[in-house]
Amino acid sequence: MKITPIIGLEVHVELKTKSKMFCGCDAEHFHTEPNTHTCPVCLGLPGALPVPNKKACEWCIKLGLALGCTINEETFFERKNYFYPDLAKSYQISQLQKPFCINGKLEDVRINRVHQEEDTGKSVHVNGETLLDFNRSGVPLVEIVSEPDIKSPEDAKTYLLKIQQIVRYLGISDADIEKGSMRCEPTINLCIDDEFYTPLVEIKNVASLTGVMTAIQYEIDRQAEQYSQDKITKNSTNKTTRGWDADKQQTFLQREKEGSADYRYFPEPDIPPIIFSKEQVEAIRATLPEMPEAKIAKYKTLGLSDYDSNLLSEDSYFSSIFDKIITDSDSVYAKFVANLLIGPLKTIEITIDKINPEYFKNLFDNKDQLSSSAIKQLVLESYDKQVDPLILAKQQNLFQVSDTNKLEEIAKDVIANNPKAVADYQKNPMSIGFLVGQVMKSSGGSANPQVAKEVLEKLLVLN
Amino acid sequence: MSSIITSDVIVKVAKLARINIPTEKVDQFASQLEPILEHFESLSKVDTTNVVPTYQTTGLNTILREDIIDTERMFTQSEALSNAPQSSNGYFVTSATIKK
Amino acid sequence: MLLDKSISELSAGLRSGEFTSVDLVNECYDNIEKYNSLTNAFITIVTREEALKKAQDVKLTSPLSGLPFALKDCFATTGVRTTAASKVLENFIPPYSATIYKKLLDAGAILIGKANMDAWGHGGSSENTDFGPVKNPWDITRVAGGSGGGPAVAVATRMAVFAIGEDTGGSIRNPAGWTNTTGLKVTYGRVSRYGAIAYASSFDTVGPVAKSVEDCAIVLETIAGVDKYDATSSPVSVPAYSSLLNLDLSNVTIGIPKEFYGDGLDPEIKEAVLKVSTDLQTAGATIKEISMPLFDLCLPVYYLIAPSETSSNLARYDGVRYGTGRDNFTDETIRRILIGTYALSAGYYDAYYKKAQQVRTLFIEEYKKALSQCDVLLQPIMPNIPPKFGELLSDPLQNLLADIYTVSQNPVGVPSLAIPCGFTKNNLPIGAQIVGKMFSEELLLALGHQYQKLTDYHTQKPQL
Repeated sequence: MKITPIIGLEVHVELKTKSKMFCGCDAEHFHTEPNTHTCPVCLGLPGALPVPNKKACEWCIKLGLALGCTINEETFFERKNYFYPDLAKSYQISQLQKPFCINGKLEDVRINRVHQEEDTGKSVHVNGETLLDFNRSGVPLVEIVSEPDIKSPEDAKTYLLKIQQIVRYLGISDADIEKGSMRCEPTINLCIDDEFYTPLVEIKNVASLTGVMTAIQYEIDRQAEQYSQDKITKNSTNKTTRGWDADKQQTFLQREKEGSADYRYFPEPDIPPIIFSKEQVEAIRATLPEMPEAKIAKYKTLGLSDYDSNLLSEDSYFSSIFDKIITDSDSVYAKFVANLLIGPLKTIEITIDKINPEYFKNLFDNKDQLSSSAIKQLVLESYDKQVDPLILAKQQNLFQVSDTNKLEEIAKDVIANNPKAVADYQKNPMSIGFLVGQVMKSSGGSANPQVAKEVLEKLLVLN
Repeated sequence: MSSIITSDVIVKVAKLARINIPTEKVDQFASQLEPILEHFESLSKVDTTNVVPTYQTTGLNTILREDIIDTERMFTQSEALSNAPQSSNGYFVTSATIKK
Repeated sequence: MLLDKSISELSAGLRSGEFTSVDLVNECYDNIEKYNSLTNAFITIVTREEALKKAQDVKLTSPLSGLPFALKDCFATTGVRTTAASKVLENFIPPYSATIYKKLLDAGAILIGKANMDAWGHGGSSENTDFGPVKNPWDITRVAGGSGGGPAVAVATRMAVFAIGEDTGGSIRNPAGWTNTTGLKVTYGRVSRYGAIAYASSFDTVGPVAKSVEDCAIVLETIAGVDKYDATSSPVSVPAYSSLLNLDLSNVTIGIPKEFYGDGLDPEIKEAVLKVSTDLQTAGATIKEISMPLFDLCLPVYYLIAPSETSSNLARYDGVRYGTGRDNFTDETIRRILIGTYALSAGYYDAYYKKAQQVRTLFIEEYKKALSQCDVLLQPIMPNIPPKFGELLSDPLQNLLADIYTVSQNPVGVPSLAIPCGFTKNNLPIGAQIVGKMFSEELLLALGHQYQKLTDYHTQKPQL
């Protein structure tokens, strides 16, 4: 039996706007006292009305553009009606017929739509009771719906990480899966022997990246097993929803939310249609940062390795620091800076405003007179103190002496004062290390060890 | 004309709307709604080919608000909970009858 | 009685010191004591002491300062119980206020009570209320109309100087017509809906009920305008309506849509309404008969869209955050929720909800066409005199059919002014409505004011 998994992902991303989607309440809901960020609108009080958050709409469009979507010039919100205690109005304001963004693509995965909606409150079940906190109610959510173009749990992971990276690059969400600011609902079925399709299953309550992969794999195996037993194929009515039980590591058939089959969408009468002109969309496009793919390509052109390029572009902030430092296409300089960023600077929190490209250039220009450990020390210290590393190097006497005349004088003294070591060297040239050490010592550590060694070798041959 | 609103339809629709209708009243609702739905059938005779539906009459578009926190409207916890039939430690409480 | 005076007379009297706000408030409460138990116009009455305290402290900053008013019980009022006449909200004390309530308080007006209505606006007789039906002060064996029976009766019996209602399919005009008061259904978006408990969001409008057109104009000036909390409120500027009431009638053409005067219309009412046109014609206006052939379809359009929206608007009453939960809706409300849920459900959406919204488009065209041939349309409000209690409720379909003249304007959005235009042989009030183009309140009010200068129907009050 040949099995081809067919996987589509619905990804919800919570936008980090200051205020909520349809009211001016503080949108922060982590570690807040319950029900302290609410108002008539997000508490669904009688008579309250929604007014959409402009920034959230723009961010939704921005994400759509980053995913290569077409932007609908005229859109409108709709009501998705269902009952659940954490859904204050008993309808969620969402988009169905006319989402902001349609028909995008992320590498090999087609994006069906990117639309705007609002989050629900949080419910906690304790001792047979449900406790409700509406601080999250009405926080803006963007939903990214892929076509079923994903073929394996690994591909799903790659897709999710890409989405996460893009969202973070855009600076519109923390996209933290564990915290719930990014959520994923996979829909899975199997194509058997290129001919038969198993019934669709949507998986809910997956709360981690590994959970997504394990749940998908579990579901692939389960459906294959199920199909081999009952040979039931997909039809328009047998789609089911299964929950993911992270403890048991298995999916289980969820009792359908009552009425979930029929959301009775209709256009939201409280919100006039929304028009973003082509010019406005282009203005949003102009605010798109350079995306990871473009960054990687750029870094490779600079002569960086695949490894370094990927590492630098993983995080947009990090790579923007690199971009700030690198102002020309000197590949040696690029490698020098990349090593510092991926090395010593990776160990501390960096603020881009405190990065002075000149300091890096100065270090680079003097790298031959500085030991590698001195360079590491200087890059950190100059960042910390906001002082030119060359000044620091001078103060701390870190410059290495490479002047052969000066080193020759020291070396002559060393040779005169260490006849035993000289004799050792003549028997075994590998033992020059001791003499080099003495030169370093006499120079107070400022001698360039390589040059000192060359000078000694020259003098000892002359002897 | 066959009936549009059967008792089964009433039961199904009431469930969707989360309305408990006592069994003995289902038929009553069905027989009351039947003539109303029949009356609505007159709409089906209107030719609406290519007629764009009107969902609102404001003539407005793109009424958006800036992303600013409006503390003026925000409730204190006790205000938020002031009408709650049941609350505990700052939370609204409801019996957990529904499994998500 | 002071309360018989117009708002401008009252405002002037307060300023000249002829009487005080305390006098007005006391007179309202005296009338409430006399008439409320007979009419059941109020669900919640602010205590006399509280109102008097406000009256004592009032500063005369606006024409409404110091004037006692009533709100239909569908507006959120901080600290004052707000029920929408439903048991579901029988204990609901809003922690926030509707925009219009804030505006009226800012103007110095004094709330004296929350007026009775059909629960959630679902009805045309104020019988569908969990707080007892509202009785018509002209004949207490008959209904006062609805859904805003309470506000109209409060004004008719001088328990308040003016009131604010909400009109979704006639809820201001219908009771105004049956109680001899003047009421204005504004253009959709003219007045903020924020804090007005939603019945059907795309039809709901908030407007004044008062003793005269002039009073309505003054109140409208205060409550109209764009609101940042209502995305559907209009930024169109608010004219100084009360200073624009002069009108040369010779510039006005009044359209008589013949379909509105067909078989179902009580002949006595027909005569009284048509007499409005002849009176205005005598005063210089031009009369033109026109046709609105889609007229009949307004009922299915209204009664599909309004229940659809209401089924969603009323879904929030789950008894978790407030209220007593979904088991406390009346049968009439349940019927509307069921119709709406059905019309929106999978498989029926296109045939019912969407179809109705398409026909709504045709209706908008129909009104546009009609109002291109004339300036305003003269229409009856109710086909019959106010019925006795129980007559409408016993037949749900007849109950809907009674709304035929008042439900076509809301899907279109146009404004309509309800004015008293006579009495039946049995001394029951008759009202007419003047319908205009979008945002033509200025013309409607001026025309209505000219009519009230020619007639004295609006000055008549019930003898309880």
